[in-house]
Amino acid sequence: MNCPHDQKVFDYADGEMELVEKQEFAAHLQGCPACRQQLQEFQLLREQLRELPSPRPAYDLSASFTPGASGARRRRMPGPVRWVFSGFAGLATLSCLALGVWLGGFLVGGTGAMATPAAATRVFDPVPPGGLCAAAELCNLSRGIR
Amino acid sequence: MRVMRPFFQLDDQECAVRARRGEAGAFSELVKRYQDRIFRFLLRLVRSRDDAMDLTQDTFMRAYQGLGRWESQAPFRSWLFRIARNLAFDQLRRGRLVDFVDYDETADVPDRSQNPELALATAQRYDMLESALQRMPAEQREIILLREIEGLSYEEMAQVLELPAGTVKSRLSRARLALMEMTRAREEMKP
Repeated sequence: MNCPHDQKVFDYADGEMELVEKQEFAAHLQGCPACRQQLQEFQLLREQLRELPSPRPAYDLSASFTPGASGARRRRMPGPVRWVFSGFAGLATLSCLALGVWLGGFLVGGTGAMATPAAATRVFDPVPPGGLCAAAELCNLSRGIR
Repeated sequence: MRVMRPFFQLDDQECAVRARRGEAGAFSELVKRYQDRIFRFLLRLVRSRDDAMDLTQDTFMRAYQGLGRWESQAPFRSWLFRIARNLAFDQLRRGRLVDFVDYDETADVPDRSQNPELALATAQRYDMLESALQRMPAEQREIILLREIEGLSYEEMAQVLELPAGTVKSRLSRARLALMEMTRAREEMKP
């Protein structure tokens, strides 16, 4: 036998051998350090695999299949979180649309309520609208007040 | 008057038969029995917690919708794992790149308060094993998971994988040897 004879080691460990074969291999193990070590390593590995912690699902899926539940309902995230998220998303979308329309009104112009083009360019004046004038010549003011 | 036994007293086959007759509570019982096992199998297979959760849900939805096609002579467990396994491999073939999963969040961990050194050694051993499993090719990993963690017989594995039992046996041997080699190499690297 070319040892370690891996398949026989596994069959022996799995209890897959017939009685006679099992007894013969058990006798072989007595005198074969290679097969014995292979068996011990495998049994240790198997034991460690069985001891591995068992991760659990984030929530109980069986509730989707209880009587009264409307069939198997797919669920990506918990209900309250999903509703809050979609509410914020909707509100944000509407806000962006409203802001865009309002800003676009400045570009289009044409209504009495809209700022005139001249007034709109006041932001580029040396003195911003409503600001104090540092000197008369900057603000096109005549000297002195009448 | 015939007294119906509660679902938790029925075996898998009886529950599945009653679920097929339209008793949703029977299927819910099967979900309770298998959701942890299906999830942990899928998590170690696809290595993504979100994907594993989605796939677990998909597995049970498919099983629920496909009960009419399930043959009552076939073990329900094998059929369920076959659905899960096929869904996982569809996902893996789509070639998503995933990071290694941290298993600590929901799993039982060693009690560090009793013997910190032993707990640390145990935790390191778990990490090493999980890491070795994750590095295996998916086909080898699944066969190790089905046999060594889920405890399926060769016949059940043959049904899940749709392979002859002899092929399952030889693939399992190769996977075991590969895992032993990986863990041996890691042990030798330890200071």
